[in-house]
Amino acid sequence: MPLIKTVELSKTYWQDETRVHALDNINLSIEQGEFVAITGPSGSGKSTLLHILGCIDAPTRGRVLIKDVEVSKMNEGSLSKLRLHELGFVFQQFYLLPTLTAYENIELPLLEAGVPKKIRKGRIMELLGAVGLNERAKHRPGQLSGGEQQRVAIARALANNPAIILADEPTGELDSANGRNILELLVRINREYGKTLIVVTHDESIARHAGRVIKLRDGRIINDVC
Amino acid sequence: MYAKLAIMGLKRRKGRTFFTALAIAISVSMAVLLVSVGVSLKQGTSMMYEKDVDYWIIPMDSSVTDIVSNSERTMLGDVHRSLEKINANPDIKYATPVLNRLIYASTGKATKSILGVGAIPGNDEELLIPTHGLTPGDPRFSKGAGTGEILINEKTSRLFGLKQGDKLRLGVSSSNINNSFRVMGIITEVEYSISPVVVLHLSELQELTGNLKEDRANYIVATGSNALDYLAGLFPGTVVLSSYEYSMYNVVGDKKLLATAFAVSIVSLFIAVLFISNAMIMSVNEKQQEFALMRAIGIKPRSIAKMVFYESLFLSLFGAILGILLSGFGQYLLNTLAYRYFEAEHVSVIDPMLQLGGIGIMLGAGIFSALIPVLMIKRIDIVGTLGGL
Repeated sequence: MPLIKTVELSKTYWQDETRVHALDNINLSIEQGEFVAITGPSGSGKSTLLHILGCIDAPTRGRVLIKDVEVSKMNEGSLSKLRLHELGFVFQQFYLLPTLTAYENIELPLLEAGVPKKIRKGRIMELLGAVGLNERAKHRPGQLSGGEQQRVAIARALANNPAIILADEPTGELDSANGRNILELLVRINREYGKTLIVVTHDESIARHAGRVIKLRDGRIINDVC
Repeated sequence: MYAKLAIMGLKRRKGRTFFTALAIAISVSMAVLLVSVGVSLKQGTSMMYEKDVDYWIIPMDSSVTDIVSNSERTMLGDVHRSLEKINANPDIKYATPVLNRLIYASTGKATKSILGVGAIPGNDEELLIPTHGLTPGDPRFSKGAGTGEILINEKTSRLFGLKQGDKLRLGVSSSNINNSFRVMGIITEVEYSISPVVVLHLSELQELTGNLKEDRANYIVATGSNALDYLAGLFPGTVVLSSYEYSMYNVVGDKKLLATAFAVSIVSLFIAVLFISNAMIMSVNEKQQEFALMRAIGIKPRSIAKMVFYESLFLSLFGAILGILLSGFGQYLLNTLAYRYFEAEHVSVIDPMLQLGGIGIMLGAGIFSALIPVLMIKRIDIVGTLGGL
C-alpha cells in the first residue's frame, strides 16, 4: 500500500478570465521512506501539487489518498488533524511566528496535539538537539540567522512525528553553506528517521540527493525517475 | 500559549492597543460616572452614614432614600421594642431606628424647612449618626420628659447664624413652630454637608411629627457581624439587608435609575464594541499570514479563534481597568469641584458593584467584538495567503 496516492488529479483555476490547468491528470504513488524531489519550470504546477498533497488545497477533480484514506472528501476539522499528525511543512520563507521563541514555535503543534507538558519539553529539547540549536531555544526568529530559522522550522515540522515532510524550496532563501546544511539535515531526517520527504525545488543538488525525481511541465508529469 | 500569543499580539502594536483601550476606558468611565451621579441623587440622606452600617431593616415596599413619600404603611412601628430584641443579640454592636422627616425650623426671623433626623444616641464608639453632645438613649421615650437637645450641621448653622448653646424652634408646619431646642453641637462631618440637617432624639422627632404613639421610624440601622439571619428572623415582614445588598437594593429598586443605567450601559457597550471590533479586524488582517501558517501546520481554526478571542478579551479588560481608574479620578474631580463651587458633597457615589458592572459590560463587549474576526479566520485562504509557499 503506497503512503500517498493520487488518482487522475487535476486542478483548474481562473486567472484574469483565463482558465489555467495547474495540474492535469496526475497519477502518482509515493512509498513510505521515499525522498522525492519535484522539479520543473515556474508555472509547471509543482507547488500546486505540493499544496494538494499537503491538504491545504483541494483538487478540482481526482482523488488523493494518504495511508489509503481519501482526503479530498474530508472536512476542515479532519484535515487539520491530518496536517497536525501526518504532515510536516517546511516553507521557503521559514514562516516562524515572530513573537514566539524557537522553543515555543516547536511547541505550538505539540500543544495543539494535546501532548502533556513534561513530554512536550523532552520532545522539544530532543528536536532542538537534532537540528543543533539547543543553545538557541529562547531566541526569537528575529535573533536567529536564516539557516537557524529554517532548522527551527524543520524541528517544528517533525514535532508530532509525522510520516510525511513536505518542503517547498527549503534552501531557496539561504546562502550556499546554509543551504548545504539544511539539505544534509533533510537527508538525515529521511534516512535516520525514515520520513517520507517530498521536496519542491529548483536546486539541482537537492534533486541529486533525492531517490526519485518527478519532473512536471504544464501540469503534467513528463518524467518520473528513481 | 494562545493567551501568550494574544498578549504578544497586543504588545506588538502598543500604540493601537493603548488608544483602543483609552477609548474603551473613556466610555466605561463616562458610564460609571453618569450612573454614580444618579446613585448619589438617589441615595440622598442615607449616604450620610451608609458606609458604616452593616445591616438595614427596611419596611417592605419602602424606599429608605425617599424621605418624603414614606407613609404610615411604609414605616416600621413599635421600633423601641424592636430595638430591645435586636440588642439582645451579642453580635449586634449598636442599632438605632432612624426617622427622617422634613420639618420647619425658625429662630424667629426666618423660617426654613430642613431635614430632621431622629435617632437614639449610643456611646461614642458606637455611633453611626453623629450624636456627640446628645444625652445617650432616648429619655423622652423611657422617662417621659424630652431633653430639648439638638445637633445641627454647618449648613443649618450658616442658614440661621447659630452656634453651640443657641436655641432653635422646630415644628411640622410653618405656622406651628413652637418647640424650642438647644443646639448642643455642630456636626462637621462632610457627609452631613449636603443640605441643612438637624439631629435629635428619636422620640422627640416622633412627637414633633406625630409618630410617637405608633412609635414609628423609617428604618433601623445596625452595626455588628453574623447577625443577618437573626435579624431576618426577627422581622419577617421587612427587608433585612447587609450593606452590600442595600447598595444593590437602592439601585435596582429604582426603575428610573435602572433605566438610566441600562441606557448608559448600552451606549457604552456600543462604543466599546465599535473600537474593539475595529482593532481586532485590523489585527486579524495584519496577522493573516501567521494564521494561514498556523492552519497549514494543523492548528484548528477553533484554536486560532480562541487566540483572537483572548486578544479581544484582554483588550477589553485592559480598557475596563483603565476606565475604572479613570472613573475614580473623575469622581474625585467631580466631588472636589462640586464642593468647591456649589458646596455639594458626594455628587458622585461609585459603588464597587458599579465598577464590577462596568468591567462586566466591557468583557461582554470584548466577547461580542471577537465574533467578526473569528469569522474572518475561518475564511482565510491558506494557499492564497502564504503566496510563495
